[in-house]
Amino acid sequence: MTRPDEARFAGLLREHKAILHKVAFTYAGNPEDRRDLVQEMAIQLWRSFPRFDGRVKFSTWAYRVSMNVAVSWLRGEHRRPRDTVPIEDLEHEIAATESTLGEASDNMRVLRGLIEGLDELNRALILLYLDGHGADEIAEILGITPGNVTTRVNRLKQRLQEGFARLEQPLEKTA
Amino acid sequence: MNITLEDLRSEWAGHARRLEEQLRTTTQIAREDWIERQRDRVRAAGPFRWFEIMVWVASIALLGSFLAANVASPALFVTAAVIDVWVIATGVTAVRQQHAVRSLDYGMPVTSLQARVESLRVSRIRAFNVSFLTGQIVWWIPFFVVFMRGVFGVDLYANPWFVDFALINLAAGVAIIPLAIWIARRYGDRLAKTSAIRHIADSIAGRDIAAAREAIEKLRRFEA
Repeated sequence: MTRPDEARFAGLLREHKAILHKVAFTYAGNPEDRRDLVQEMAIQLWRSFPRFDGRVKFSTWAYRVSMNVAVSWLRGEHRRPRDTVPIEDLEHEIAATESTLGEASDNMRVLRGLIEGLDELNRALILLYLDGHGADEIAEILGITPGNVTTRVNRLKQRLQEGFARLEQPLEKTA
Repeated sequence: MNITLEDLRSEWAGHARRLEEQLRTTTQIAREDWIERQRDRVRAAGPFRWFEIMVWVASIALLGSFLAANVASPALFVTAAVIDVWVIATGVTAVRQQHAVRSLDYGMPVTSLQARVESLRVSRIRAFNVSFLTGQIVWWIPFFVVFMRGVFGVDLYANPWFVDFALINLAAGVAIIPLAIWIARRYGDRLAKTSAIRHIADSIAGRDIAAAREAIEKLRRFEA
């Protein structure tokens, strides 16, 4: 990568780094893993950047790369010993994710529980849905049809309702 | 309590906006020095790969010179040729696999890239199994023969007892293959004290391939 490309990449990464943190939040349960995962995603984005040809939006491409790294990471393909890069870089960013997404409210804790119960592909789907993407864009990122996205989102909604129903049952019994 | 996914979506939007604002105030990732460090990290992986390639090329060259020196002795020539073919085949397979992994385009849609990753995993495990199980045949008697001739000038084939010895060992080496697969399947979990041994046991027993195939099947179901 040439110097101007590096500068362009750094600018784009700064602008879209929330994507990395949101994906890491969806796939990794603790701050240490999240920090490692953000680093892996950033490095893979950097390595892959020469192939980015602008046919899709940078954010779409960044979601694809980050989610591909995260899915592989969850399957154990990407895990490395934690000895590679100085860590001090990401402490504040990881803390920001924790305070805004992790412990923000009861609903966010419920959401976290729901996400943790999903497999790696449905985690990607729910994150994209929560992030406000439409079926077409989600389909473009995941490589499935928009109709399939709609069906799967509906299943997730149903699953959430069933989850709440299960939570409420013991309360009703004790009431 | 009756929250819908839409409720969570609108709440998430607010938190995500705050996260973006907070991240904007930090300049930690993607600074110039961060990029510089990642460059060093990528470079750091280079020399070892070069060392592996150098050892591979040196092995082929040494075997090549042994073959040239023993053209007149068919038994020695064939023995060294077996090792040479094994070394070349495993080396070429490893280089092709590394190239395939490096060529993966992480900017592809998630299901496409993951299917590619899993099929590469299947090929990698198969190649490992073949080289691991056949390696113990190639790197025992044939290597011993070539080593004794190359280093000490001793032709083991000239000894009358050697052919029987070699045949018995070859038969044992072949018999070990199904035995190793059976042991890995039956006792792999109990024997595997470290993750490296567990990986080997899972590969030989076919559990890793089964997991990769299951992942491919899951991707197909997700796409359907």
